[in-house]
Amino acid sequence: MSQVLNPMTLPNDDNVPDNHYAFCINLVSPWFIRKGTMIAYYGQIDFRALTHGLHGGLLHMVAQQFSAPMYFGDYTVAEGQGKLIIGDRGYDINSYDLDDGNLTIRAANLLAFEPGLSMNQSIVPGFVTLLGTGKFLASSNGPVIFVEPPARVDPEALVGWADCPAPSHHYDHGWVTNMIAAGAARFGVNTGEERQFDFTGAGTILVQSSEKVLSDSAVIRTIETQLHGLTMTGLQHLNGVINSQLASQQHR
Amino acid sequence: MFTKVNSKVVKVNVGQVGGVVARAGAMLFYTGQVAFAPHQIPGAGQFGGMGGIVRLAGRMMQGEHERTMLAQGNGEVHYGYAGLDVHTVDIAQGAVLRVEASRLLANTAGLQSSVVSVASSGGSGGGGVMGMLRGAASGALTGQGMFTTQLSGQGSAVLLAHGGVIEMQVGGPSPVVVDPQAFVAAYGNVQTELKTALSWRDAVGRGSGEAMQLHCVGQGIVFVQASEEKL
Repeated sequence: MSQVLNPMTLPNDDNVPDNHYAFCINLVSPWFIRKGTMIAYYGQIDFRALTHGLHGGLLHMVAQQFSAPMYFGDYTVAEGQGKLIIGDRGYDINSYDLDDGNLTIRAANLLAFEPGLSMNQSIVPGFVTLLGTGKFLASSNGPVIFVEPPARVDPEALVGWADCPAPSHHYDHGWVTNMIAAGAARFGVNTGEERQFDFTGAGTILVQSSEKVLSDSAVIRTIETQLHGLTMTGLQHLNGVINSQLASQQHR
Repeated sequence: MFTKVNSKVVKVNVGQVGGVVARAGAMLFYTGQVAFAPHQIPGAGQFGGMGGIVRLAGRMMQGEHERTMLAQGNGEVHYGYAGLDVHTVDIAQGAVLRVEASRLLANTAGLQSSVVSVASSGGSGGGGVMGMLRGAASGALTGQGMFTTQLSGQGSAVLLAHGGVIEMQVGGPSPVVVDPQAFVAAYGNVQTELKTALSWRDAVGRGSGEAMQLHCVGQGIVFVQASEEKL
């Protein structure tokens, strides 16, 4: 029979024994925690929203370290003393230490981070960049695979990258070489791999097995913020594109 | 050949195996120079011509079609799909692997792929109309439809499963009996036949829930997943 855990036997900042899917934080100073990932805790821990009710040191900390207004509603500050257990969709959870480093990660895969790190919105939609020194927790579907550039990565499989330059898009349309294939391509024949992220330079790329359900709320909010100031024709065009996409998804 | 990186990811050197056919959208990342093209559509690669479109239409009618892509070039490609578990199978010359198209992640391009009727693989089902009916019934229950994909030749393939895959030897004195929903694939010369173990209890809703069973006989291996989830 497996061991019954208590505050004494729970690990400090490590995976729960024999379980890749749960992680125990030994909370002594405040952490930023993604909403909905707390599954259990021991001790005295308060969860505070970032948007209101903060004052004093905490407010200062949030103002200093959290420069991604789009994600204000997604995170809380956990403060107090105790053991906090984190889980996310049955995904594998790992902790990473940054030492005056920079790492960009898919927002849906970032679960928690220490305030020694500052969180900034990345240029790439749906991703955030962590700068500074401290620990953070990330989830992945299956174990994370570490890859060295140069490599090309499927956008859905990308968890994040560290130290190397931000990726550029690579489009693979090489197969459309003759008339018939071009016709087929116009009618929606494709490989599903036309768009890849092209990484170059020195650094590390983090890759997972494809996401089961991609949480695209961050991408949607990014698009939303870009909508202001579009022309009438532009909006109508977008409306048409969205409608045809909707129709093809219902058809499937 | 395919190498497992972890329980959900495989890697393969595309140049060494002479091309890889995989589910569309299953590429995770690659290094080197690799190009991806839709497979079995006119004008793509050496599988061109009108034959492709006729084959495609036939396959779609049989419900045994998943969009696939052909990877060619020099480099190492990693594949994974929807966070499902992967399992590699090496196919020897003369043996066949029978697998539902939705459970096939990738195979080396040198393998011949064909669509066969499930009814023809039924052992004692007999020919004629009864055999066809039996095949249809077992197809409906295993979620395979009446047809399944058959790979032959020399090469390697990757199966998809929910939960881990176990390999079970077929060929002993007694048949291997599998839950139809846990059945993934069969390798070698394996006949599958659906048997019912219905009793009056099932009629009044007090059955054991295991009324349908797939009996596997012959010589080979059946692949079983640790879940009853259909793909």
